[in-house]
Amino acid sequence: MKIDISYLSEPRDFEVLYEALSNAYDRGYHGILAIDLSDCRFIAVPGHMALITAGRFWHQLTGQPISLMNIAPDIHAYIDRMLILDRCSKYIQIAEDLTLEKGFLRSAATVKLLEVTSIASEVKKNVCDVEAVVRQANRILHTWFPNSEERVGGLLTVLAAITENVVHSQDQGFVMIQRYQTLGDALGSRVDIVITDLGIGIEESLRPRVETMSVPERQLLFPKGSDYLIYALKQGVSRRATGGGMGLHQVKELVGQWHGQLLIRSLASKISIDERGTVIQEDLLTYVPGTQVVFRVWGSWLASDMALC
Amino acid sequence: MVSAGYAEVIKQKIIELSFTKIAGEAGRKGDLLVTREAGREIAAHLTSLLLGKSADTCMILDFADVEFMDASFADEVFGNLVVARSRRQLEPRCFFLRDLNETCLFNLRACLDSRPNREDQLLRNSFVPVIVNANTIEFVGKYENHIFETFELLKKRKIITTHDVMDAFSVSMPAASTRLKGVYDLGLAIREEIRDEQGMQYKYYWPL
Repeated sequence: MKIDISYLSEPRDFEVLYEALSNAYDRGYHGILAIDLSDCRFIAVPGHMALITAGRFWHQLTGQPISLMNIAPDIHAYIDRMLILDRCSKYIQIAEDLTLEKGFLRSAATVKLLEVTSIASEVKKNVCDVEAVVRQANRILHTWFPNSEERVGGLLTVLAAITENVVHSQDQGFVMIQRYQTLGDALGSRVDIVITDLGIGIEESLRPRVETMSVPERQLLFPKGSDYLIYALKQGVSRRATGGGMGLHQVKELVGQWHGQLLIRSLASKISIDERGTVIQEDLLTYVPGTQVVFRVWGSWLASDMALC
Repeated sequence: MVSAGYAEVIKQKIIELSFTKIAGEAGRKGDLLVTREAGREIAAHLTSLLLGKSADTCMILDFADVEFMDASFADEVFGNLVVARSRRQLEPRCFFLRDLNETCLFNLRACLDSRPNREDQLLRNSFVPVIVNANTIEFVGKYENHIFETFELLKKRKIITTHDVMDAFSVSMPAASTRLKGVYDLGLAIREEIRDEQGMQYKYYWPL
């Protein structure tokens, strides 16, 4: 069975992908699912995260991978460069026997991006994974922003927070970072940090805290699923057993300070915060287990000018 | 009488420790401090280090080699430490932090500012003193004004007694005594027991 995906740029495109996948399963198809990308000219990092999420979800449902077909050469080269096929081979395959004509160079000196990196949920392994990814990102970010410790520190704060949160998911997470040079002077560059897991979701991870509330209080605070995501962003929310609960609040604060964007999707709900601070909640989406987070900021990232617009 | 000799003794009891080294002793690399679990490992080691010193020792934890510390780590190490201290679950020990970069300070603030909201019981003073420069020490976290005022008086005069606090703030002797004990219990002063014609009293010394 094949599904056609023309765009994987915006969050609404990801919903098209998830819905198509869910429909295919509901119709009784449980084999390798082909994703036709013939109309897709560019996929940003959140789109690749959506593909990984879809691939893992399909594999979880059927035991089979998704298979990407009719991929543009640039996209193929990028997928290869990001090690998506290498590290997610169980979930994502390439349909045709493509020859990678022009690969992107990869070497120890290549520091333009953080390839897809696995983050464990088991506590001890999570420490090692988070430390390793923060260490690598620290090196990368210092080459991107050599004169801006504040920006580097803030981005590392976001990265540490969302990767450590994988512990609560009880599932493996995958994280990526990419910097894009945008056209036009107004925006400068863009940095995307994305993470995905197929774990228990934010609502379930807040259960120890929520269970201490009375039923009326719970009904008042959480009439819908996305209200759990809003709650998770509040300062001082504690997962009582672990004492945590600050990470997403810090991420939200930095999004606000830097006029960035934040998207958090968990199970069948989503919240998005745009650069003006407007919060949109969406519910009754296609159910996809786990949590996906997209953090995005823009700025004039020239070495001599660290001012953000 | 001012015990000038004791003031000299205090200076000899200042111990400066690299936090990176402390982390290394607990099995971590120490330049990038992340996750609550890593914080747990180092917190145990730090507490044992603090309690292993006498009450008249002042430790300065130097963060010069720490490039990054996240809020979870800071919460597990310093958040739990200041809560225990605030609830008098820890013997008074004097320590200050120094040379935190902006990001480490930002994340330390994030955890300590939010800590009172994440506790079941009321927290009065849950802060860490941070040496910002030669003239400035910032309390990061929650603190009561009278603690800060008394600390600033001690910083100015270097040695104070109950009578000094009574005069400076126009408070009664019990109130002055409570203020000074509060400062001492929070690890912001060293004290010496003095017996003179007025009986037994404490002299409080600037620890740095």
